[in-house]
Amino acid sequence: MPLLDLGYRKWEGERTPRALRWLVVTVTGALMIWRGYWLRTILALSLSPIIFTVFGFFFFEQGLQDEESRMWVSQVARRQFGMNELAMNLMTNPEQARHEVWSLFLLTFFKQSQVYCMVIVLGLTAPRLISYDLRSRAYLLYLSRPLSPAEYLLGKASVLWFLLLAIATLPALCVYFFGVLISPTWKVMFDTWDLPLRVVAATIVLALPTSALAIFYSSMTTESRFAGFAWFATWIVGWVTYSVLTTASAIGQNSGEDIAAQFHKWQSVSPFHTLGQVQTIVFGANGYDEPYWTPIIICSAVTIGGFYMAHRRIAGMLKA
Amino acid sequence: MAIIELRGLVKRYGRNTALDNVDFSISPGITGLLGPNGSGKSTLIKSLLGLVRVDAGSGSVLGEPWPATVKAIRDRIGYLPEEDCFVAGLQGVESVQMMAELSGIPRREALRRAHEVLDYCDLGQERYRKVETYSTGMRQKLKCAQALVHDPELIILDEPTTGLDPTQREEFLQRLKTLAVKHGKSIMLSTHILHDVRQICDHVVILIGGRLRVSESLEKLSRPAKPGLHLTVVKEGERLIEVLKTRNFTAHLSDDRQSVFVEGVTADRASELWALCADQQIMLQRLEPSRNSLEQIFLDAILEVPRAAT
Repeated sequence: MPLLDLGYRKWEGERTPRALRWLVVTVTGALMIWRGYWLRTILALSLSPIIFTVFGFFFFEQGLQDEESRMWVSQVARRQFGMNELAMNLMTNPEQARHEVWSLFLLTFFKQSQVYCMVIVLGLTAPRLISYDLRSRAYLLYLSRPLSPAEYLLGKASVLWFLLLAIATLPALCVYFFGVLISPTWKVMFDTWDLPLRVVAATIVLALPTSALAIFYSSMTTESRFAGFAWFATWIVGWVTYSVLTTASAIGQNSGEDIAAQFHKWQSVSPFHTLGQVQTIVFGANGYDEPYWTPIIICSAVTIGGFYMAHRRIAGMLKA
Repeated sequence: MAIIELRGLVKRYGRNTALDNVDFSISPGITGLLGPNGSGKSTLIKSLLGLVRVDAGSGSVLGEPWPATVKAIRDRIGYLPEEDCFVAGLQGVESVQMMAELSGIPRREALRRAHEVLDYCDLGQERYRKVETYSTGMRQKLKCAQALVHDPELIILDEPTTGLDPTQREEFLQRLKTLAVKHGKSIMLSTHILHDVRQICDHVVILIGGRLRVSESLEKLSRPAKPGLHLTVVKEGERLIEVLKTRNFTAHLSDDRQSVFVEGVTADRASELWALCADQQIMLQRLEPSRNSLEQIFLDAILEVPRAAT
């Protein structure tokens, strides 16, 4: 029993623009996810690779300071990684080499650490996003307000984009700015000004197909565990299939180039490697002559197909 | 001015026609939407809200062209769905706040308004519990608060009293009456419970097999074709009929055999009948003017359905 019951009162105030109401879905979704202790822990842990990448920048920039160190870095690039062109650039054109190395560091940060974090974090959060709403019929509540099914999906997908921003974009930008701060000279900014933009582009490349896939799985079932299973199965089965096929194909190949060609031939079966290839293109580190349109087409198809099917499902639920 | 005015509304699901050329208009006040299961009530409501795309039809809702501006219309409508729906993981108050925000109320104000409306809907400290732990009655109250939080001009309620105990149901209906009378809200109440309609509605719409069968004010529908008075007596019905016949009244036992129906007599002659019973020592229990019952109106509407209709 309230101490003071005002009864029903009229409300007369200025309403927020209708075109931005989907943000309410995003904010509510993000706040609900943020309540999960384990998720917050995983998000915090996903930031740890920043330290290694920043150290990489630091040692590389220190290595460029004198001839002797540069020679040592050049030898490491040639002998350990087989990057002959980069090794040569380090001695003759350090500015260009710096751009290449910084791109490689950031690409590695994206490909080798943040993608794994993305798979885990999205696997824990995305399956519930729509399947819970389907089970509890909450979509009726959302769509009885001035929201279309497309705006509802945009709001839900934005929750995932927010998480990806926290896992990938912000840490990568932090890495870049820390790298600049600990560099011996501000000149690095002029050599690497485009990298923050590439980070944003790489995030978009990561976010669109993965969120579309996650939203698709989540909208296809009222049981979030099935969606979660499908999500992890996609990545794991793709990875294992790719490994088996490339290993089998590489046996008997003579040259390193032939082996590399086999590795690129099968990347379309693995979402991880397909995404990695597109990100490699974004960071300008695409060193092979293989057709790069295939992974771009696959990512685009997954994005369009995923969102289309999810939209169809949500719109279809209203007819029931 | 009509709150809702629709013309030629058609909605098909494949070969099945859910709404067949429905024309209807409702005025401000409380309108009861009646019909058996599968008659198209929920489809009509979903069509009004723009949740399903209609095959044909046009009109206006709250003065806005329908269905062209359905998003603007939704901002002015409060909808309480029949289905048990909730956003899992949110507290009751957060759930109402979110609905307010979706209707354009700024976040902070939405929280204040959510508390105010939850008080009005009689949801106490349970508002801080997660909605999935709510009982059916609590969920109905929560849905009511969600429907009212943005101060809509038209409130559409789909089976709102389901799951409420008799006291809560009575309070809920009174709340609706207050909203309509004191706050000028128009209410459309879709229900199977005829008692609820009789208690609060001004207007009745009956849908049968996707077609509009009745759309009339309850007052007009209740008025019988021929006036008459029902007299309920203790055991002496037959003797009363004989006495009435001697005084040139036309009387017979009513269909339910519980009372004597005196034909062609209006309420202004009640004192005459009262005096007659007193003279004859007949104990009169009840005397009331004849009215068409809503049950009868509803059954009549159903029986008019052609056999082929589904």
